[in-house]
Amino acid sequence: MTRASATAAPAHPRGGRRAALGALAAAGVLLLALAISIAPGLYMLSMSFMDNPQLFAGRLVAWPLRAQNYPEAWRASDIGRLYGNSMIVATVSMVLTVAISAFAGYGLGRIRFAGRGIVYALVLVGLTIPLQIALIPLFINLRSLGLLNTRLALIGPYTGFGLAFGTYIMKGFFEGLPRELEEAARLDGAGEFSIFARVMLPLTRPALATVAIFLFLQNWNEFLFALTFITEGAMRTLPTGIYALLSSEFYGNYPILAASLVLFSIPVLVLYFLFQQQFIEGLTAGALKH
Amino acid sequence: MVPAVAVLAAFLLYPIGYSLWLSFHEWSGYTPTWGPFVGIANYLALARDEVFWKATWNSLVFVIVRTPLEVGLGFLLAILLNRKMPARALLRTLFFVPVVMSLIVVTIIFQRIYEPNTGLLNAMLRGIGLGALAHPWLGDAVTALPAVIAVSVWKNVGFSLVILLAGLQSLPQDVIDAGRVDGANAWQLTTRVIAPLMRPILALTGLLSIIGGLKVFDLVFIMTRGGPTYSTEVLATMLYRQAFELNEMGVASAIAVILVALVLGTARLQTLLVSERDEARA
Amino acid sequence: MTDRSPRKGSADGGRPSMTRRGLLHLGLASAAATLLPRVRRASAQIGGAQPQTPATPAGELTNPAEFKAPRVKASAPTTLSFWQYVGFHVTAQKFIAEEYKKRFDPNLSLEITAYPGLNEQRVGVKTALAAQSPTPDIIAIEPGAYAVDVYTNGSVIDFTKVFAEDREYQRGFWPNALELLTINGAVVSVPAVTNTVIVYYNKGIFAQHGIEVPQTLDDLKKAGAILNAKGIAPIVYPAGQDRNFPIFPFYTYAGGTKADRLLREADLGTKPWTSPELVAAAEFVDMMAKSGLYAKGPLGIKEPDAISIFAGGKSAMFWGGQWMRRSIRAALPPGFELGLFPFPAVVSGGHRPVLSSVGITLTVNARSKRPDLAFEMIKALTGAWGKIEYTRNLGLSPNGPISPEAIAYQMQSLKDPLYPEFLKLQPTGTTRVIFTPQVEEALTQGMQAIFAGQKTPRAAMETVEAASQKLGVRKFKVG
Repeated sequence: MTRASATAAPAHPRGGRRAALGALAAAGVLLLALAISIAPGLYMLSMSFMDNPQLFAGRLVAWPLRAQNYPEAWRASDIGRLYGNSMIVATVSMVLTVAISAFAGYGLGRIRFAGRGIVYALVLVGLTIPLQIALIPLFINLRSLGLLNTRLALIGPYTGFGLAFGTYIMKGFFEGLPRELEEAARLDGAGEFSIFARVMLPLTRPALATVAIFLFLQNWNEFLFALTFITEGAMRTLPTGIYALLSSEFYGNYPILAASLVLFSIPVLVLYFLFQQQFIEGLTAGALKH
Repeated sequence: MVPAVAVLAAFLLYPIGYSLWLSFHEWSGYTPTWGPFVGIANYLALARDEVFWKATWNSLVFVIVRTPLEVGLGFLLAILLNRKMPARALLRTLFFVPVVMSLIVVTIIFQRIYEPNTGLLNAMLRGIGLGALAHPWLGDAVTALPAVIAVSVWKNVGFSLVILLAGLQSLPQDVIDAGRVDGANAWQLTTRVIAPLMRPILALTGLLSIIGGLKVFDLVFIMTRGGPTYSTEVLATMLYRQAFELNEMGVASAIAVILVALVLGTARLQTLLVSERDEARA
Repeated sequence: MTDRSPRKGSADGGRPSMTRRGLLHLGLASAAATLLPRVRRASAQIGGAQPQTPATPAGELTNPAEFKAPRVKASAPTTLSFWQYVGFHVTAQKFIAEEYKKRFDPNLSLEITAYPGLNEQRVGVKTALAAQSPTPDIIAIEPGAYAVDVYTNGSVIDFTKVFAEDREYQRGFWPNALELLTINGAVVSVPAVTNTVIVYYNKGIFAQHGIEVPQTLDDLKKAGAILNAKGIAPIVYPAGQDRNFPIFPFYTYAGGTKADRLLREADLGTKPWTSPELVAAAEFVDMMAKSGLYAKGPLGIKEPDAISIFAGGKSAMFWGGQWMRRSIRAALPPGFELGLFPFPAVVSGGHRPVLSSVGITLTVNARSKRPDLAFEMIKALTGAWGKIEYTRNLGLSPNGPISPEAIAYQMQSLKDPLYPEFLKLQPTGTTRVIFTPQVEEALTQGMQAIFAGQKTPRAAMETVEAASQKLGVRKFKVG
C-alpha cells in the first residue's frame, strides 16, 4: 500500500472548465488566507527596520530602512549566548520527548493493557494543567535537587510536559494505522519491537516530524519556567533575554524589539522549512514508493 | 513503554497531586508552609463567585467559537496545500508564521489594529464609508471577547493546519485513487472519502484546540487582562489573579482542578461520540 | 571625582527640609537650571535606540553630595542578587553599584535580574519566597499590597535598625513617601525614585488655537470644546494600559478635594467607600468619561497607542505618567514642543491635585545570607549621592529633596528641559496607592464599569464597599 504524498489535481478531463474554475477558486482562497496570515508578520518585519518616529507616525512600510536595529538588538539582548542555551535546551528536550513519545504513543495506541484508560487520562491532564500551578512545586523540587540555574532545570520539565503532547499526537496517529499491516508483519514472524520499528514507525513520519517541530517551538518559546528557574545571566534562554528588552533601556523602542523578535523567530521557521523538504517529503516520498 | 509511563508520571503526577491537595487548603503563597485545611470551602467560594461563572462562560464561548473556525479553516487549507504546486514547502512554511510569531509582537500589532482612534481596522472602516461601525474593539465589554478570539483564531489556524497536513500525508493513497476512479469530483472526494478517513486526526486536532482554548492565558492576559469588567476573563486569567494578586493559592488550585475536570469530561464526551459513530457505520 | 566633594553653599548644610524656604530654593534653582547652558541641547526626538547617558557626565560640575562609606564591607568576593522589574533602571543601578565597588568595596558585586514586568517579577519572587530561598538578596517591591504581603509574612527585613544607626539617611527621604511604606510601624522598604501623574501637552497646538494652560476644570472644558470643534481630541488617556489606570481620575478628584486621608481610611476599612466625598470622586470619573474630553474609547487605548496619537498631533494633551517621559520623547517629531501641567483644580477655589507616588522600592530578603551588605548596597543606591546619580541617569524624580547644586549637576547631562518642572511638583503630590488587593480589584472594576456606562457611580462605590467589608478588620496598619 502506498501512502499519499500529494493529491494531484483530477486527471480526468471531465468538466475541464469546472476543474479550472475550481482550481482558480482554490488558489484565490489560498492567496487570501496567505495574505491574512502573513500580513502581521510582514508588518513586524517592517517595524524592525523603522525608527520610533516612523512607527508612531503610523507608517506601514519602513523607509528609509534602518538596518542598525539588528546589530543593536543582537547586542542589547546578548542573543549569541541566549541562542546557544535555547538551542541546547530545546533540542535535547525535543529529541528525548520524541523518542519517548513514539514508544508511549505506540503502546497507548495499539496495545491493549490494563490501566490504559488511566494513562490516557494522565496524558490529558498533562496537556491541561496550567503551568502556573506546577510552578511552585517544581521550583521547590528543583531547588532541593540543586538544579536551579542549570539547563537540566528546563530540560526536565520541558520533556515531562512535552511528553503529554507528544504521546497524545503519536497515539492518535498510531491508532489510525490499519490492522492488516500489523497482522501481515506478525504472520511474517516479526517480533513486537520489529513491528514497531520497521513497520509502524516509518508510516508515522509526518506525525513525528510534526511533533518534533511543535515541541521545538514550544520549548523555544517557553517563558514562565525559563524566567523562574533560571535567574543567572549565563544560563538564560532567549525568551527571557528578549522580553527583558521590553523594560530595559530600550523601553518603548518597538523597532528594536521587533528586530530581536524576528531574530528570535527565524530558527523555528528555518527548521520547519527544512523538515518539510527533507524529512516529510524527501524521505517519505523516496522510501515508500516500493 | 513502561519507562515512558514512569517519566510521564514523575513529571506530571507530582504537580497534579500537589494542586489537588492544595485546593483543599488555604495558602497565601508567601509562607513556607500551607495554611489550614478547609475542605471544599474553596470550591464553594468559587460557586458563589459571579466572576467564576463569568470566566467559565467566557472560556466556553472561547472554545465553541474558536475550535470550529480553527479546525475548519485548517482543514480547508490543508487540503488545498496538499496538492502539487510550485513552492509548496515555502507556502506551508509561510502559513506557519503566525504560530511561530511571538505573542508579544502579535499583541502589539493587533493592539494597533484595534485601537479606536488611529487603529487600522477603524481607519479601514471609515475609508470604505462604514465609519458608523468604528468601535473601541478592546475597550468595549461586548466586542472585547470576539476581538480576542479573532486574534486567537488567526494565530492558531497554522497549528491545526500543520497537524492536519501531516494527517493528509498519511492517508492511504489507494482508497483515494479508487474514489477518483469511481468518478467522484473534488467535493465528493473530500466529504465522502477524505473526511471520514481523517476523522481520528480531526478529532485529535479538535480536542487539542479545545484544551488550548480552555487553557488560554497569555493572549488574553496581555491584550486585555480579563477586562473590561471581566468581559474577557477566562479561567486561566482568573487563576492567575487568584494566585498572584489576591494571594489565594488554594482557590487558584481549585480552578486548575476544575479546568482539568472539564477537559477530561470533554475528552470522554468526544470518545463516546466518535465511537458511537463508528458503531453506526459498522 | 574625589571622594568627598565639598558641599557648596547649601543653606541647610546637608539637612534637607521641606520648609517653604526650601521649596522656594528648589523653585528658583529649577528656574535657574533651565537657563544654564547645556552641553547639547536636544529640543526634539531621539529616534531609534536610546543613547545611554554617558557614565561620566561631560562638564565641570560634579555630584555635590557625599558618597558615604559603608559601615560593613565584604571580607571575601560576594555577589548580591537583585530582582527588579523596570529594566530601564538597570544602567543607573549598575553605574552606582560599580562606583561603590571601585570606591569602597572591591569584593562586593551586584547582579541585577530585570524581569520584563511587575507581574512576572512578583511570580518569581513569590516562588522564591515560598521555597525559602536566600536569593534574591535585594527585592524591588511596589508600595501597597505587595509591600504588605511580603512584610506581614515575615519575608523581608524592615529598616528600623538601619535608620536607627543612620538618621541622616532616613531624613533624606520625603516623609510622605516613607509613610506610604510604613507597615505596622516599621518602614518596610525605601523608594528609589518618585513618579508623578500629570498632563503633557502640545505647546504648538495650544498656541495655534489660543489656548492657555487650564487652571480649573472649567478652563479645561472650554479648551476641550475649542479642540473638539477643530477635530482634535482634547486628552488622550490610555485607560487600557493596565488595571490601575482607570483609577487615576478618581485619585485625582480625591486629591483635589483633600479626601486622600479618607481614601486611605476606607482602604484600611475604617471608613466606608460610600462616603459622600468618595462617591463625589466616582461621579467625577463618570462626568469626565461622558464629557467628550477623552479620545474615543479610553479603555481600549494602551500607552503606545496614546503616544502615537499624541505625537501625531491628533490629541492636544496626554494624561500620563512621568515614567512615560522617555518613550514619549523618543516618539516626538522634530519641532514638537512638549510641555506639562498638573491636572487643573477640580473644585472651584481648590488646589491643583498632583498625583504622585513612589516608583520601585527596595527591601531585603529575610533569608538573605548577607543582609548587612544588602542594606549597604541599598543605601548606596538610594542615599544622598546615589539618588542624584540614579535620577540623573533616568530623568525621574528623586526620593527626597536635593540641593540646587545637585540639580544643576544633573541638568548638565540630562537632556530633558521638563525635569525641573517635575521636581517642582513633587512635594505637593497626593498618593495613589491601595493597600488591600481585593479593594484595589473592586475599585478597578468599578471604575471600568463607570467608563463603560455599566454602573452608576454610587453603585460602583457600593461594590467597593462590599468588597472592603468582606475582608473585615485589616490585619495590618499603615503609617
